[in-house]
Amino acid sequence: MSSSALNQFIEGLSGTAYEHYISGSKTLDEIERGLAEALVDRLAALLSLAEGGARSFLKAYLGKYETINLAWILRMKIGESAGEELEMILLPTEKLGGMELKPLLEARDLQALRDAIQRSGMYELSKDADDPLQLEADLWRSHYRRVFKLASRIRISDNREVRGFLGLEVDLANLKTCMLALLRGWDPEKVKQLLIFNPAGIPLKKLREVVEEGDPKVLVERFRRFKGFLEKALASDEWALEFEGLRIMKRYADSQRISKFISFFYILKYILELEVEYRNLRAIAVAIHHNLPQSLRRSLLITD
Amino acid sequence: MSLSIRYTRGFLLDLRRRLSFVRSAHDLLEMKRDQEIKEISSAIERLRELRAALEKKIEDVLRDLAMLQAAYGSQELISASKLMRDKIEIEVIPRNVMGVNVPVVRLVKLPEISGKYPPHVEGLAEKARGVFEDLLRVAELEAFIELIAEDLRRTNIRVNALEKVIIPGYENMIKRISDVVEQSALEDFIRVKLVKRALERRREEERA
Repeated sequence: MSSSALNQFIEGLSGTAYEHYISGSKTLDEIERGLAEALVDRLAALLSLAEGGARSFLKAYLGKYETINLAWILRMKIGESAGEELEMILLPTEKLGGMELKPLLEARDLQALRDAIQRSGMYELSKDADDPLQLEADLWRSHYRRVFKLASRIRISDNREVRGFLGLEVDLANLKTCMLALLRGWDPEKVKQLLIFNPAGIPLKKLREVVEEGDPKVLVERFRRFKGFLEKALASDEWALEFEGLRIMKRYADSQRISKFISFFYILKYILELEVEYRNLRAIAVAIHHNLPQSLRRSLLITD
Repeated sequence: MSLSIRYTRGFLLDLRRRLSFVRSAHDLLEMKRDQEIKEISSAIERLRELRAALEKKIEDVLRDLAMLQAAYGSQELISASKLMRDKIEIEVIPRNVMGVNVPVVRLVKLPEISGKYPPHVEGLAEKARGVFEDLLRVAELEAFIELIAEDLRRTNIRVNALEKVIIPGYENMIKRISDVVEQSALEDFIRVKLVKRALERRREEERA
């Protein structure tokens, strides 16, 4: 690692909102933590401005960061990691009105952790499942169930666009799971259990049918709209799927012509822009840390 | 070589026997040394090839790791790495090569990866597992080279000691003893001659 190059990165961000979060960082971990904290603070500021149904919806939508945290806690508990190690990697989602993570960190084993998550009433985990991937899928299912429920309740004129945005997010997650799992020859039954119900996108039935066929190429043929996205996986670039997914989300958000000047959809668009900026900065820091060639560095960026 | 020297014909014969034994030991050690050099050279050649392939694989794994880290963040990879609970099992069996015990590493069990990691991390885990197998082969070969080289050093010292010290020492000793024995045989011969002549003279005087 070139620490002077990372210093240049930190200097490059001086004078911006990130200065406060990453100045003094010595390692990539510290930079990543600083960038994540900056993202969460910006999202928390946005949430604090919202009221009523919009606030409930936003809180639920931003719960995706809490879901990410819970998935990490689950994995670390399975690996019997120390509490301090766990704390180091978590996003500060309590600022987004999420559940208190301390009791989860203190859970003595996986069962205790599952009980603690269930007690929150926010997530529903399969009773018999002990497969961590299945439990993660349960977390995501609960998250999106809540988000779609609240999305249908808020009275906004651009409800269609909001649902489309959420549906696209779930579609991309489902297709990624299907594609990568099929390429790796996973049992179709296991893959089907990892899929998330999407009321605003590809029906689960259709996805399950393709999974049963077990051929990744069929997936590309059936879902031509996502051809470019799925083909990244065929080229063995698992990492590229993630970037391509965000690019598709960004293109979708940018392409929507919203009739009203003040529209709720802009909030989702803004959240996506924050996420994209965070991902871009993190990717640059990682690329510098690993001294990746310039040509590869460019491919890591999500731009217009 | 500490021997209490006796200047006798019997001791000389014993020394010659010993010298012939030491010479054949020297020849054997020389053969061993040549064989060890051959083994090391071919092992170094194999190591070079294995290392080049391994370095390429590691580069590939590191590139994928960097790209995944850039895409998903360090936390995602750190947490995913904790999902693996199975341990790698290996068995180290000693194998005797020219009197040297070298380790042979046998992979008993590699963790099953399929379906254990999130699908976007599984490819990297698979590649890393492949690298581990190659790393074991490289470690095995490096240990082989190290142990044989150490034995080659010892063999070399022995060959040199035999060549430069022990064999010349024996040869000198044999020469010295055979000189003394020959000298003493000559003296004995002369003494016998003189005694014989004295006896003949006494016999002639008695007859006269």
